[in-house]
Amino acid sequence: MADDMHRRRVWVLAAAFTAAALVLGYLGSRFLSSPPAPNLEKLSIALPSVPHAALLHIAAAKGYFAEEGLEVTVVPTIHGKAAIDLMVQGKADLGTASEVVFVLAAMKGGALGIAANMFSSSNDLAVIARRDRGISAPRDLAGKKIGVSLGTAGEYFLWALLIRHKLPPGSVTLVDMPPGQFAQELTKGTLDAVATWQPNVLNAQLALDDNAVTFHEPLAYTETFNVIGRSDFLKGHSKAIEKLVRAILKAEQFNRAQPEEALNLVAQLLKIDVESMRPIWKVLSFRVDLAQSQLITLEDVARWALARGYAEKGSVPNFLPHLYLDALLAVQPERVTVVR
Amino acid sequence: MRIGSKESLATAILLAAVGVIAAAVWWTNVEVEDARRQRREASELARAQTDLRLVTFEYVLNNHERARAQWYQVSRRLDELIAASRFSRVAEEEILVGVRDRRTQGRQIFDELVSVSADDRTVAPRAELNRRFEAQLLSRLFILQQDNLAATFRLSDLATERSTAAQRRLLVVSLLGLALIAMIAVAMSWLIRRDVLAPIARLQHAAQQVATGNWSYEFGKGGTDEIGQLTRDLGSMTQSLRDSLGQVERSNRELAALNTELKAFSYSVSHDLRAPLRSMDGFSLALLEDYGDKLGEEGKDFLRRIRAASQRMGRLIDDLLGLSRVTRAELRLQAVDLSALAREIAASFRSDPPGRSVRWEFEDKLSMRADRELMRIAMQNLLDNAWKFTGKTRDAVVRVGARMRDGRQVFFVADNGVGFDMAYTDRLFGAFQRLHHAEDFPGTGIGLAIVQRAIHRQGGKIWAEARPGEGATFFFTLGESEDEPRGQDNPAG
Repeated sequence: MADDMHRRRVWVLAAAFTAAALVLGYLGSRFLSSPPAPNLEKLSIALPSVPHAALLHIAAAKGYFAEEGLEVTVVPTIHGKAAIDLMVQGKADLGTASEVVFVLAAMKGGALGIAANMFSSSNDLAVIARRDRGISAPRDLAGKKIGVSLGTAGEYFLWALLIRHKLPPGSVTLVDMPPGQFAQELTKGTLDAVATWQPNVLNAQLALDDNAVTFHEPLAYTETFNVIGRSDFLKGHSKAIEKLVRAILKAEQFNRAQPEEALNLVAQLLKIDVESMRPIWKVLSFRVDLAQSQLITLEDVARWALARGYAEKGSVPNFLPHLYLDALLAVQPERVTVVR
Repeated sequence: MRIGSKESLATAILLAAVGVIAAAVWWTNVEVEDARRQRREASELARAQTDLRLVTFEYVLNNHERARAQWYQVSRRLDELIAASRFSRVAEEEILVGVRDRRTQGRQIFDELVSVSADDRTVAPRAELNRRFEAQLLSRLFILQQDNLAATFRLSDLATERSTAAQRRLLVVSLLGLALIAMIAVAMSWLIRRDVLAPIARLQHAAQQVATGNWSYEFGKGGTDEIGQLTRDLGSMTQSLRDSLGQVERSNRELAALNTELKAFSYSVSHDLRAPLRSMDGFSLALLEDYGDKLGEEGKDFLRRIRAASQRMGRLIDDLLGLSRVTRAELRLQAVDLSALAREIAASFRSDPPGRSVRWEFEDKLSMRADRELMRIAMQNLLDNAWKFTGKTRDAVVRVGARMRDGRQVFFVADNGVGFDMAYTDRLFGAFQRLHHAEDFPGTGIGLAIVQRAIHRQGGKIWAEARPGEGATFFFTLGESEDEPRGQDNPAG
């Protein structure tokens, strides 16, 4: 009888402590965590298979879109230019590309906006040249045949590198081709050099082996990779864009917290050997923001586009309205340094 | 678990909770101070970078030497600030590394910008290329400066976040600690109510039961803690008391039976022994009166001796009965005027024998709470004693009075008679004990024994002080008997 009483009292005490712990846990969870995701909203994104778009690949693979209430359909492409072309054609709601691709598309009259920059690097792009063609320094590129994908960051980088070394842009011959052919054409000798991004840089280096000479030029150009959409779509789907921004912020956090796992995941998704990708990964910076400095780059690219004849003659456009700030301002305003 | 162990455990948990909160407060303070320092450093960096941008614009606008000199001056200050900055966390360190790298690039670009000559900008055929080169340098410089400024603000934001996070952690830890303390307080209250107050209430109830005479009340087994042990001890104690009480009751019954027997014995003694003595005395007197002329002087002397012996034995029997009555008499405490009582008793001595002169000195207002009859017996014997032992003293004085000793009233009966040797004081109050020859001072030797019993019955003490030839003083107290008597001069002289 006394034992029963004692046992009952112990249970009452244990129940009281459990109840208190649950209340504290509930309050703590409310205090520390975000609310659950509402009903799923649909989005389609044209997504190139390049490391530059790693945050979107991670967000899709880790289910961050679903967590934020988005049902995202990924439309794979080979590079950013192809992604923006698909988006402009209405085959995807959003696309991801470098600012070079964005500027060219915008200057052709597309009412486009950048919702977020999610990548930047000054050491990603490079010119890989054949040493046996007498190229050992950037100035040796004069008079050479250089492979580029016209209208991409690769072409702009080559331009910036030539200017940096005071070489007239007309001093080289540009050969337009898809980035996937660069390694092969270099090896065959139809090209003296190529200007491209990762992982094509790596592929070209591997193809030429000791014959390869590589020129980076961090003081000439910092490439960015952006989430781009039609301006009317971005404004009309502000909540969905906010969710998308939250998802890629989660991916950024994952990459910062577990870089090795992020590297393995992206390498697996892009079908690149992890060890080959490891040195590349080190020079890439994944951070979601919208910076004032990006406007300067956009304007520089616009000047190049005008000089190259990719846009009708005129003045450099005002890109400020092309930056869609609302989503990032709503989620993490301190990441928006655009003067406003 | 014992109550002491529970109390120690609760105290340990409480102290641990307080310790955690104190550590959290200390840690938060360290964090906040560090964050404040970081914000201050970030602010210095931002100010220097703003200055750098200003002089960069001034130089780009005018190519003025003053602006160029200021640029390098600010640049050095900025480098010093970056070198002196202390950011321990990985994210902050990465940002600072980025700032440092961009600073290096920026300085290189500015050096190149300064080296562009006016001719480079104007003289064909390279003017256009140089213009583009200079524009590229400027763009890169502004981008680097803008990015560095943004990064510095990010450092400041991170410091603010750290400070906020530390304060939030402190809040959470404090709330959890307080909740823990509150839970311990509730648990302690519950445990005290269950393990201390409730058992004490049961013990109190049991004590009340025992106090009202319910000696058969059971205290129960009790728990394993201290109060449980106390309950068992009290139960054992009550059981012992119960056993002792039974023993006392049995003894009382036996004593009552003995008392009854004693009464019967006393009655028998007073009547059965007295009758033959009266016969011996009566017939001896008859022989003397009726046949005195036929007996010689020697025969009459023998008869007178027989009569004297039988009368002395009669007095002995009376004194023994008196001693017995003093022992058995029921106490009736009341206010007794000792002065009046002594005067009344002394009055009976004044005419016996004729010509005897004693000065009686009685202090007034000697009052006490006592049994009047026992005090009468005691005073009768004490005064009788004083009268007797001053019989051979010229200017005999007998005094009755009281003194305060150690805050207590001590009564005395003093005389200046023959006194006695204090070496025999232990025999003084024994029955049939005599310190003088019966020829000198006749008596049964029972008087002082009766006095002692009368005083003891009333919870008092009696003692005597004397010197041979200088008199004796008998002191007594009533109602208490703690202290031993002390030496004192004879109050009779």
